[in-house]
Amino acid sequence: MLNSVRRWTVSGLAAAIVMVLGACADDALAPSEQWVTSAAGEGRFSVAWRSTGMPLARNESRDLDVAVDLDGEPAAGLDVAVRGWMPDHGHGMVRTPPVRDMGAGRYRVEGLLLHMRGRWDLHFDLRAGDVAETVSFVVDL
Amino acid sequence: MRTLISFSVLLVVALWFVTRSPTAPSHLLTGQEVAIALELSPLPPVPPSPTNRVADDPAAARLGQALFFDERLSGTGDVSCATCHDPARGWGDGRRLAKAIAHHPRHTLTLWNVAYNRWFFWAGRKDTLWSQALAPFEDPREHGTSRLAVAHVVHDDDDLRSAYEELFGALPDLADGARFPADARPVAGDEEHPHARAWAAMEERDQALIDDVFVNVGKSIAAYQRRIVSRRAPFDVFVEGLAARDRDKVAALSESAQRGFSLFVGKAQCLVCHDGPNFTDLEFHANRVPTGEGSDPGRPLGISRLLEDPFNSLSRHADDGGEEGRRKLALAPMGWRTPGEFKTPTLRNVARTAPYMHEGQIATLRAVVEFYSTLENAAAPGEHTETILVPLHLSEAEVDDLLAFLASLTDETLDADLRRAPASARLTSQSN
Ligand code: HEC
Ligand code: HEC
Repeated sequence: MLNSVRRWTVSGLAAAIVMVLGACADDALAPSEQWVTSAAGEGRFSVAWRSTGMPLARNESRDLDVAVDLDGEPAAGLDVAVRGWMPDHGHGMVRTPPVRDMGAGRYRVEGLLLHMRGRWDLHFDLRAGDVAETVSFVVDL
Repeated sequence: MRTLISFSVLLVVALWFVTRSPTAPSHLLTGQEVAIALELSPLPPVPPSPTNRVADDPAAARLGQALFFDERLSGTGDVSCATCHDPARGWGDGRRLAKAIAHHPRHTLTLWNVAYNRWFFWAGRKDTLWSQALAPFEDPREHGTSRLAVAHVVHDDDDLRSAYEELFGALPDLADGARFPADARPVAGDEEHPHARAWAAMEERDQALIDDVFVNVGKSIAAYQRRIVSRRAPFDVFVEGLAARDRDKVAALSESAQRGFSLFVGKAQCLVCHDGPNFTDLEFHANRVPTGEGSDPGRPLGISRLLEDPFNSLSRHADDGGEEGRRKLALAPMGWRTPGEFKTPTLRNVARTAPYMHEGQIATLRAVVEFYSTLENAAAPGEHTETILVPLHLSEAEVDDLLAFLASLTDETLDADLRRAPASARLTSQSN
């Protein structure tokens, strides 16, 4: 369902646009193999994520693999939280998916549910000691 | 000059083809609208129910059907599930607010396509279809009975008992009145209630045996309700026509209904919440419908009651070891929630399920559409409301078009045998 992956920068935050086009499943890439990466040079953290197993889909629970680097090195032991927000609706997700530290800078978001059609801002809140940043992506479902 | 004209004509024709899907024999829908239509139909098969091991067992569905229509499963002997969920009234009751033994503060939900839901009741205070079925039995306004009384009815009736035992094994011997009183149940907030006292006097082990019987009753009723499916309305025939380029099938939707569909997915923004082939996003929203006296908190109360529910999907009664509950219920309470949110209802067969909304506060479908169009008397927006909800200022013709589309979601052609009490609770019985 992941038809095209584009990247650009929004207001100082690393951002990527993921177009998930609903109906055209047949010619889709397998997004579980597709990492979405934040733009370089925006802050000290960089983030790459992908949906595991099944493609990201509207209103279906998914797990995400997340890889976080701090100053170019895999960053383990961070505080990581993920938030989804619909700027056009003024509300967020109906669940808060827990994030598990898998070691070596890898994290697993469990049970992400983006329940509605439209634009979602996916924020990864990252903290290592007193370094705290939010890396954001735009997901269009 | 001539080449310029023919070039412009060509351009117009080309543009026309680009904006109208080439696969669509409908001249009213854009390519994007056709793509959305193909997402909304057909309704896929009923999703699996891993918490209920008999969910797709035909024998359980037959037993559940018998229980659904059985008035003996009530304190007054004259209430069954079908009292309020009448197959002839869109599996509802046609009343503003429900009433059996006493008045209920909410409007009866339809059971059409109920197995597609993720949460049950207007505020989602149940997370499985089988545990939903247990609530009305012990609600004094509904069946006004108790889990012990339900177990005794199954135990004492040869037909129900043999159907039950073929599926779930031997029932406990309920003839021992000292161990198994006629009426007993936990009563929240009233330990002095005779049912509560009788329940408290029981051995914990016997309570667990009765809970198992009660849950199996719920799982059987759920297996039956999984068959209450509506999936081939004129809209679905229309979408088949779009996919197959079959003009006869496309004609299943009038031009007015096609314009209504464009409004539904476009300007009127209904699709934002009524999304997917069952026309619900399965979640909760404040659609700002005016409410009557009192304030019904909706979803936040639903979720706190669900977390305390001994029959929730994280309990020992879930046949998947709590797997579904860990991915659904366990994650829900942490999410963003505002008071006044209710579950988005399905719109399939909506033309047959008046009145509308959680208090039945809107009498007709036209009045519903007019409410969304004007937001007249809308409840005050909460702290975080749906900012997309704005007055639509629909013209009268547009209201008619939307209504024509909503009416095209009607398909009540369910097998007549599923609409009434079966002659026997057993599938193997020759009598039916
Ligand atoms: C007094 C009338 C009444 C009786 C009797 C009754 N119900 Fe209901 N039913 C309702 C009302 C009212 C609601 C919505 C209540 C709420 O949301 O709080 C409802 C909701 C439901 C729902 C939830 C549907 C959804 O989409 O969430 C199901 C399923 C259901 N009932 C099944 C049953 C079954 C099974 C029985 C018999 C064991 C039964 N009902 C007996 C009135 C009744
Ligand atoms: C913000 C989400 C949202 C939008 C947008 C929305 N609805 Fe609803 N709709 C709901 C919710 C939630 C309910 C139940 C509200 C309640 O009872 O408190 C509902 C109820 C209804 C009902 C009553 C169904 C029943 O069985 O009682 C109808 C009909 C309906 N909506 C049609 C529409 C139409 C037509 C549109 C577009 C004009 C629309 N809705 C837009 C969320 C929405």
